[in-house]
Amino acid sequence: MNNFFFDYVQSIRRREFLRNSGLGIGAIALASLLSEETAKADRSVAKPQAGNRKPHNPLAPKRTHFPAQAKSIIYLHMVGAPSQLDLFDYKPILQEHTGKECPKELVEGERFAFLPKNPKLLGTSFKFSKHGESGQEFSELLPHLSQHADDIAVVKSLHTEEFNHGPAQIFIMTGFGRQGRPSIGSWLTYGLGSESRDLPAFVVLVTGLTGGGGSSMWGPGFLPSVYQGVRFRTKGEPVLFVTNPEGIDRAARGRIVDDIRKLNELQLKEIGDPEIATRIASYELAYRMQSSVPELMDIKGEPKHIHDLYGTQPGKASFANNCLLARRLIERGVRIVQLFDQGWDHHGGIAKRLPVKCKQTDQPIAALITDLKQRGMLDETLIVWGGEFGRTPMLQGDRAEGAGRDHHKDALTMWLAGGGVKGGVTVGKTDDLGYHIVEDKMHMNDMHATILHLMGLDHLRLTHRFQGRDYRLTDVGGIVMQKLLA
Amino acid sequence: QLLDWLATKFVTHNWSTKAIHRLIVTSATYRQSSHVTPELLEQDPYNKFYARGPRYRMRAEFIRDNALAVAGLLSDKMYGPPVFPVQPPGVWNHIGVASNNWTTSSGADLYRRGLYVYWRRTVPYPSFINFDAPSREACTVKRSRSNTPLQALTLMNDPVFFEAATALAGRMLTEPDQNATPEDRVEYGFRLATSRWPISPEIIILVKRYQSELDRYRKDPKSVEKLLAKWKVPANVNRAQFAAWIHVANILLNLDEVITK
Repeated sequence: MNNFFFDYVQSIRRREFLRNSGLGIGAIALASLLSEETAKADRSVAKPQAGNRKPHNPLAPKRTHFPAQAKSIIYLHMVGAPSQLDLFDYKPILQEHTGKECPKELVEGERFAFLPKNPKLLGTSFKFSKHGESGQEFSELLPHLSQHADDIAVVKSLHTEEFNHGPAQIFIMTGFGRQGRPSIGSWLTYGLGSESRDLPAFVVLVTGLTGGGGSSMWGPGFLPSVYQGVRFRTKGEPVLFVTNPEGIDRAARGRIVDDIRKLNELQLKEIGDPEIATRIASYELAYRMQSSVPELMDIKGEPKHIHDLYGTQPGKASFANNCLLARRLIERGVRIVQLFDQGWDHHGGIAKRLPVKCKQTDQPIAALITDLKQRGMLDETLIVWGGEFGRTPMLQGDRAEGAGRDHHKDALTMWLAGGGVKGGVTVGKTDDLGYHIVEDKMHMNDMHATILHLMGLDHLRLTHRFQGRDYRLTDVGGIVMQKLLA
Repeated sequence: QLLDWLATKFVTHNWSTKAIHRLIVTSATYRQSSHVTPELLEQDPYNKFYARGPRYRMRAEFIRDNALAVAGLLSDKMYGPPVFPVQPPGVWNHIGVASNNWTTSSGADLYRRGLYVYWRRTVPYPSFINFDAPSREACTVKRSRSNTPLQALTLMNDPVFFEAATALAGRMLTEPDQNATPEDRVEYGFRLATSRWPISPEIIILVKRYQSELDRYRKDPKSVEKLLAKWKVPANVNRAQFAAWIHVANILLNLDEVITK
């Protein structure tokens, strides 16, 4: 063939491809989704690349900054702030002082949420004992978790900057006490991408009322909204609008989605906007979610021994069910899972109420660790447990309510397990009364830095430019706690 | 430079926003087609140089307003207290001083502009959040424009949008001439939804959908009633036809171009 003819044929081919590419775009879009390359949805994420026509998927799996064991995280947040002095931080000297007035030096110039000026002290009414080879100390309220003493790392020396629920929840979730910043789940999604094709990247499950921090606790802040947590509800529709209206069954919905695709493909051919391709892919994914989400949420099919292990009851909304769902989510490629359980704010009635909360949560949490271990998934799953601040060694509450504790921002306990965490260690110490931290003081920023590190991310490098500054989860601080790393 | 020029024009036009809007939207730049070619995409991927007309997904409130307007439901009532569209039960379940009772509005209040929807920052109206409305807890200068499956689910299944589809179906069935053919009705609905005439392949797809659903409904009248149970049915219409048009209307309100400006 001479050159002219060849060029002519080539130009026809190109025009034909552009004209006809629309017809197959649906399939291409789907294939793109499967190979994680759908059209870019939000421009603020990627920088323009000269000559790069490849569409960009903000949720495509990203390489970590360095190799890490943990590929997923299950973050268990106890809303209201559990009393560490009755669960983990045993203070025998405090116990001796129960009922006595608090030493003046401790309360001088301090602000409390609710305590009066001269409070009394309150030791724990629960028995503590050592467990496992590591000899970690737990109260009798955590019989199941104690069995995993050698799997978990307890940190007793954390402190935060907020002592009221809303701001404190936002602080522990976003690294700052005011709304507007991305949550840790969103930062992780931003840094890691998603490995789930049918489910969102970051899922949130809540038992009880949602804490005052609200949707900021799993919100994207100034990051593109595609990184937000999606709350799966445990009553009613798990994902809002996943259920078709009455009278439209799955087959009918499929026919409608098909026609939407065909018409959008015609538009794509005509206009050429890559966003249309993304929208086609979104509809395919939405249609798949309509079947994958109910499948995920239906725990009836789990074997009896699993239900016994967790204490789950299909159809009932409970923390135990959520723990089982967390494992199922991780199995299905959802990497960031957060569970929020409300009801730990014991200003009064610790003796009666704390055991109730523990009964609801201790067994399923331990079951989760056991279950992941049995499936060989614990090494790659980081589990984090904590509240938004600690509780005071000072007594709060009246005779009717029974003894309780006030909010305490200067010492709280969290624990971690799995995913590269050094099991069987306790990091940090508080003073004899459990008030001040005396060893291995860790700020929330440090805990965040450590969590990111365990997931393979350098907290100093995981940034996003906003308002002219490179923001990060750890704000302006953050030191990785090496003692927690295996 | 362009910004300077526009700012100067603004001042010389007596600070009239209407005048500056008119200037912008009647400009040759704005009126360019948004047709994208691979060359354009390579040279100006973000349309920084306005090599083509803008084509952006509408903002959350506009998507609602548009659907209601196309459906003939939009209320132009202005001012007054905020309103409460249909919201799934149990969404409001937060700790706080505010009650967790979402009391759905009634009458015309249900169909007021998105601007008037009650806003609770810790648990904002989900259909707007799905379309990138900020929670308003912190000042957001620029909304993102995401493109997600949750949006697809909202447009397909949110009762507010599904009701709009039934109302649009009603318009397609009752507003054209009595003797209008399905093609005529498809054209009518399509023009309402997109402001343009459909091309033949588009008409064929939608008429086929109508016919095939109608055939199904004719064979199974019970399924008609199942679909129509919750929605307002226009007077003197064939119920099976109405049910079939609802499918078409649901498709129309989900097209990418219908939520794109």
